[in-house]
Amino acid sequence: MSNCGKIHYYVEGKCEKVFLDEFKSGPGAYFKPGRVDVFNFVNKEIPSQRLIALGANTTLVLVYDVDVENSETLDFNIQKLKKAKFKKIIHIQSIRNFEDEIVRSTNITNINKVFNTQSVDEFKSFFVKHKDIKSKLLTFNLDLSLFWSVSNTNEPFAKYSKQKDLLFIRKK
Amino acid sequence: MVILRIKLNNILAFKNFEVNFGYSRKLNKSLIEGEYLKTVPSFRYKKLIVLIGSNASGKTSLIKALWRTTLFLNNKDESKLDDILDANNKDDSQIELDFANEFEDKATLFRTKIRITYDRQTNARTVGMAMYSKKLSNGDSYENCIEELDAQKYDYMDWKETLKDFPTNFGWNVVLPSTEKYFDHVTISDTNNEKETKDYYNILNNVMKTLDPSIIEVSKSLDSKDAIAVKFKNREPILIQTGHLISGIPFLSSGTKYGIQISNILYAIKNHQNGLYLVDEQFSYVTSDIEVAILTTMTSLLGSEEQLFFTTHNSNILDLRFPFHSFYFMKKTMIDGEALITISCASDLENRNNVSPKNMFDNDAFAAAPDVDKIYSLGDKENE
Repeated sequence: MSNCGKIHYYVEGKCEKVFLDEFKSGPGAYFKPGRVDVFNFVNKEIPSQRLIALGANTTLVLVYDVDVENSETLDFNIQKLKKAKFKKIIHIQSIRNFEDEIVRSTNITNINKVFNTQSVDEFKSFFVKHKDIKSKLLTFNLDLSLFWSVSNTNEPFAKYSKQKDLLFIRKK
Repeated sequence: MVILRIKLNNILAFKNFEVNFGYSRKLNKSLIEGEYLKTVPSFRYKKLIVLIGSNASGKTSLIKALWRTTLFLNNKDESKLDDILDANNKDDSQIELDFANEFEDKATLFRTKIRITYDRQTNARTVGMAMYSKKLSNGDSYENCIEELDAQKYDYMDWKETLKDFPTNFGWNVVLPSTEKYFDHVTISDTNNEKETKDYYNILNNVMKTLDPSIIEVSKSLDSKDAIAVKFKNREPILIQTGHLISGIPFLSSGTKYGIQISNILYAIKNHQNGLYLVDEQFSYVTSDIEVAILTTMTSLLGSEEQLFFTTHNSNILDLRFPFHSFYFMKKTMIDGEALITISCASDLENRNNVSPKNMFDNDAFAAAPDVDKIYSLGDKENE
């Protein structure tokens, strides 16, 4: 990793945090390292106390799902981030959500097959508690190059979707 | 005595915890000199281990485990293990320690295994122990000895039997925040010669004057035994006396109260009194620049067969030009209601000259950052 300033991820839920923490550190890390906080930019206004702690040289990476209709809160938050002047704002959109990204980048066809669960909520609960999620996903032939690799073409979130953002978080 | 590896299970909060302090690759550009045994230069070990981690990540516990285990070995006293065993948990516990010792120009590598078991009916404790030692010779390294250590058959006996002929020629010096009751202990006495006394007061003066520029002199008290007089500009002098709690002394700032303890350990390292130095968070009240100056000085004073373990919350330490392998990151995670302490060394992840460990730490490349969400959420709108 070169000295490229600070990266701060804001992810939508605990599953994304567990996933990123697992694949951004350790030998063979795939994503660029950065602090990871859970905060859903799509449905909650970002409070100032969270932004004050971040330096101006920070690149913010917002990770969120696009399975909702409304982008008003996100639009508001983006304006607030722009006023606070960060180095860069990167958008990573899960298409359409985290579970779909898992399915796309592994050989499973249904998310509940990962832990033999009955519901998505149950899957999420198992996912965040798992002791070695990296090994578990690799048993399903996880291909990280497919994860967060698709550009979104559907509004209202397509306006924030850029192919170069998807490449930014990958370690060179 | 130098520690090469420790493995802990069911000791304090450690479960299946293991960490290695050897290093195999010779570093030509390291600014830490002599990171090898004097008698066997091929046998490399890390002279400085900086433990960084969030609160309650196991730093102090690791220092305690090292301290109490070496204390047990040296004093041959089972009760020294009491502090690191959970009185309410009667599951078996294990400690495994690889260490090297130089004595009369001969170096020996030891692997010791300690097993603590409990009788299910009576709760009576049994400490079993097995040990293997190997005389080191030119060309040996820790890495090429591991196979031999692993291949041995370790038969557990009563610890007294195992330690019967074990040489106790090593020492250590430990400073923990919990030892504040010793902060007033001046380690120089009338039995020290003039040179030692002068050297001690020179260190004490330099440290205390740095911590508080209004101090003009620190000297031996002429009126009281085991006491020092601290003279200030425009203020009455104060007396710090062994046995009289320093916390009760007005005028001394929180950081200055650590001055005597810091001086004691600097003096010990400078005079090669101990070998193993365990310094746990003595700098919480001390400015980062002063902490940096003291740590780099301590490191430069370390001799052969000496090792410094140093815990800190100060990430500026990561900007110092120590080798990557000196930096260790500790983390505690909760998995299914159970705490799991893990440790990783910076050199396991990165070892390039153009990469800054500080930058990596700031970006949580070692996955050791605390989860601060619960704090931030207190200020979120729905909580107002």
